[in-house]
Amino acid sequence: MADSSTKNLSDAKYDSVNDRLAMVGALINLPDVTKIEFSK
Amino acid sequence: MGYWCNLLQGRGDQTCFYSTGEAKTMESKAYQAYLHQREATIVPMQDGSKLAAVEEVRTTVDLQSHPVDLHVMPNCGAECQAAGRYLNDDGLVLDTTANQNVYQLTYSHTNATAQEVPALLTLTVTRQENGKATNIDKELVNQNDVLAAVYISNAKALNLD
Repeated sequence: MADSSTKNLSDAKYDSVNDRLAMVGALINLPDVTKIEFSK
Repeated sequence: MGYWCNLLQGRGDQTCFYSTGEAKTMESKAYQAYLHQREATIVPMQDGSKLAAVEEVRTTVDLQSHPVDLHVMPNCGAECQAAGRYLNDDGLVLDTTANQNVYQLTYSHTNATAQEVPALLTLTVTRQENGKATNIDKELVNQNDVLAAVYISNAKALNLD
């Protein structure tokens, strides 16, 4: 089973302490997904 | 040569740095440790300290009941890219054939400038044909086959802040 998942990039948060962009979304079963896109 | 980022949270004031291969001196008191990720890589990781505090995780077996995070650290030319491989099994099985999921991970976004933040970040997950846990219900070995969060390291230098 192949699928793709699109997440809203506006939900991403910059973490200045660790200098990283954090995208914490709904849990995704990796065996079911081929592409995860984060878009505006 | 390239960027390195410390994945352990809030430790040290050099979260990310550029190295040309020189030696780095860092404090190493009993409570100080570092885990640096090299650019162009993707690595799976679980925050054991947080899971111990919030979910009462105590052992590596306990960790298998919780989803994983992916840490992406791109290398930028015209495009920013990273790649990695993630293997997941129950940690006990000797014959991993049909008992292990093997994922090839690639990431890309258009190189950003301060004026133009990329509109699309793409993470591609490809399971190897000979790396599928078909012996296991729904091919989910455990919760380590579930993705919780994606982190893009060195975000400020990539204009993703």
